[in-house]
Amino acid sequence: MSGPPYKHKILLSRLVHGSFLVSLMALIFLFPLSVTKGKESFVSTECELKTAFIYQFTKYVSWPKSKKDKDRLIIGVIAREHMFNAIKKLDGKLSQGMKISVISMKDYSQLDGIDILYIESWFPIKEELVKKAVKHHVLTISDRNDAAEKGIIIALYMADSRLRFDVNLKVADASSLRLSSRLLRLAHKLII
Amino acid sequence: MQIPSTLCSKGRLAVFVGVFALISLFVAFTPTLTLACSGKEDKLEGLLSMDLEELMNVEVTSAFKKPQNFRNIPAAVYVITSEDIRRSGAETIPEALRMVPGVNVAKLDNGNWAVSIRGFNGLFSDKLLVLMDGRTLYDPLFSGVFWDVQDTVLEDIERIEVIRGPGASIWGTNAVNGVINIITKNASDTVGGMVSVSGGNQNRGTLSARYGVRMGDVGATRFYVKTFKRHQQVQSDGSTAWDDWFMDRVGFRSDLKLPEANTVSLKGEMYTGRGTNKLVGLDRTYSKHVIQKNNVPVSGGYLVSDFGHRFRKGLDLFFRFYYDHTERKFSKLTSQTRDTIDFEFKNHWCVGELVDFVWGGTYRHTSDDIPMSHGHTGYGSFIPRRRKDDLFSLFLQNEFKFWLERLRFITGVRLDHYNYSGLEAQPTFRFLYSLGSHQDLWMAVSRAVRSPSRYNRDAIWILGPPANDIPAPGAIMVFRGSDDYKSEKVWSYEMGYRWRSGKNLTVDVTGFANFYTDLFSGTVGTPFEHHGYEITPIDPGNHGEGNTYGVELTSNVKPFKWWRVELSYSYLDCNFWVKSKYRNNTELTVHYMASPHHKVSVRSYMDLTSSMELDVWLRYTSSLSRLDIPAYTGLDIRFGYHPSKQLEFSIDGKDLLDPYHPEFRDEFLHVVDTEVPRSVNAKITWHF
Repeated sequence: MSGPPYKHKILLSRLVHGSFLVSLMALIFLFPLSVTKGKESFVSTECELKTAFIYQFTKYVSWPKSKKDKDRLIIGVIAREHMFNAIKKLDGKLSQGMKISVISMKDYSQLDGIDILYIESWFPIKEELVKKAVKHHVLTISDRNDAAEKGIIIALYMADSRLRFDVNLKVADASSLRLSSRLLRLAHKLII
Repeated sequence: MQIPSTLCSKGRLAVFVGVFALISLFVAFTPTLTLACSGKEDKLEGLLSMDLEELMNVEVTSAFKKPQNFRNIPAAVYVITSEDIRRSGAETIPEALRMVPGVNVAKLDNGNWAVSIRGFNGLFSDKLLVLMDGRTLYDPLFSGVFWDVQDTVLEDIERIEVIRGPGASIWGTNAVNGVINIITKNASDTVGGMVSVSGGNQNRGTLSARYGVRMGDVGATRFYVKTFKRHQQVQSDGSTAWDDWFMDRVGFRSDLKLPEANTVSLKGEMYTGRGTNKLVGLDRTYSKHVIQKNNVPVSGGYLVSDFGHRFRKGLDLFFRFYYDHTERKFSKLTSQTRDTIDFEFKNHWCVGELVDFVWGGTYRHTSDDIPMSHGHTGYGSFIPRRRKDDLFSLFLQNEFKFWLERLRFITGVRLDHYNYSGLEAQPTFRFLYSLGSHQDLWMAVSRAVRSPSRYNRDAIWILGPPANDIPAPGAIMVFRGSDDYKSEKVWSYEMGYRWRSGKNLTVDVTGFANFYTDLFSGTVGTPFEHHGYEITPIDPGNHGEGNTYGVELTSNVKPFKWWRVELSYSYLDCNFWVKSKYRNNTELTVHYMASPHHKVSVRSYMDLTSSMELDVWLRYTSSLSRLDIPAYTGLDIRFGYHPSKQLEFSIDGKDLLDPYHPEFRDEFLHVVDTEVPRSVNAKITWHF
């Protein structure tokens, strides 16, 4: 049995081994440089992904004609710092010709003028909140997986390492909010 | 055991090495170059540019045993989604795997496939680890996967993750060239009923039915049944191949969310079926060939229980226990009964936000019973007949993120102790560098081993001669397993680049060079006489060496919302040789060279209207000259119509370009070659 020149193969294999090791050494050498450059605000992927979903939701909802400020879309956020900082990055972006502004809220006592309310899972969802949101035509979003059943319009939650959402169309109708059929088609669960 | 010498292309390897070295250096110094000019571009921008459908498809994979967006993984990962499976018209898991670049799938006969990643294809591709919901499907008898029993209701598969390249530092021994991880849907996603019925000229009836119920607020459970019968394929002369096949299975899956951040998942299944094939073997006098129908009844079942607990965000604990029982009878060869219990734990721990540890361990106990064969061909036996083996393993992986997560380093090592191979260390070192939110570069160096199979160690196996080569009466070759046979090893170097331009174009390129040592080889021993026969022994050894290198490319183009096209191409070159001092009497197996150089796949998914779909899939596979298989092109066309969200009708044609073509040839079990015929299949799926 004859093979290709054996020494030739060894030489080539060492070349590849060598070039990789040199590259890795170079990378390790560059470590400190990258570390010193990079301690800015950290946003976890899950928060960013949720923010991207919220941004998309703003495009598929029509508010009633009685909406006060027709040039601005105000997102109220009841959430911890991480999540708020992520959503805050939507500040100034345009959706349906309206400029988004994000404000932090401690509770739901002042819903007048708020178009979207994001409520993080730790915050209790009470009937009073739902009633008030319906009255003020607020699109409510929460990351509890049972939120839609509790009267929140969109429940945005992690399931099997992906974000999914359920829609409570009953509450959306009561709030005079029109949700596009595309949004409804993509909903994991619809409460009608 | 046959075996040509070695081969291939020194010039191309030299060019490849040169390019590899240059790219390595480029990658190494890119951070310095871009540090100076990069702005405060945030990866959020990338997510904000996606539409809702795309966001819902942001895959979070388990490639590194923790949730992670696959775009941030320094490895060649390809994810087959449930939508991909549905629109490919695949009826089996190996058929769905055809879409992955770098994965070679060849159909041997109705129930048997040769599936491999980056070379070494064969009926038992021993350098590929396959898992379903964490349960290993890799069988230690011949080191490989019996694909005929690996199935489930395809509609209930959440995704199939294919990790090309060594995954041993995380997934364990035998993940030498890749890992295929089949993940089924959480029971809470399959609440309600589903019935799917299909049939055609090859598929003589498939019924899948599932019913999922919600269990209050706690979780959900689904029950399912699947049964199918496949018609026999053909031989090259057009005659039937006697390889009809049927399988029946029933199973369940429960997923529960208990108070205080505990999750429990239980899965169980029982299956039974029978494959058939034609074997060419020797008669009892070992003097002439006989062709016999070989029934392969199989049955088995498993139970998997997972328990997860979250102490707080960033600190998780996970336990898995499973029991697997499998029985297989190659009625003219041998049979196997195997029981496996496996216990695994894993702890995921984030230190701050930029350092991430995963560590864990596995204990696996497997016991088997392989009685001496009693068929006409008398292929052999295993000594000892019964064996119990234990595997202990421990792994640790750290991930460090720097510079707004643009730079990630992963170091990991796994220590495995297996009866057959002793202690083996399998380290990996990976890094990923994100050039803004649209581009990623990654590089990896890893070591992995393939542990000896029961066959390598304990078999006394009469090697059948090639079909037309009748040996002189009384002269037979016998493979004798040996305790001196040890693990095969690889050092693998990989590099990849991913680019995403807006919503409509993605490109993923990976290059690799693998260096193998201690590869399986067969050494011809001194003939001796036994009961009047002249026996030539073939002894296993680790005298093979070699390298493989290649490039894999995938690109997704979405010119319109209603049309998506995926192009993929892979190139593979293999060079193997026997260590110089053993060249006189030692050879390598022909299957080292049984992978195609080129593979091309073009898939088009078109939504004609909101209720009609037209999908076309064109596949090209270059020739396998060592097995005398010519190049072939497959064309699949599927038309789907869903008048409502609940109902879907589809009709698909597979391999439409020729009446039948061969894809592979088995020279291990001496199954008569069969060819894959053109097929047409109609399907109705109803959700309620």
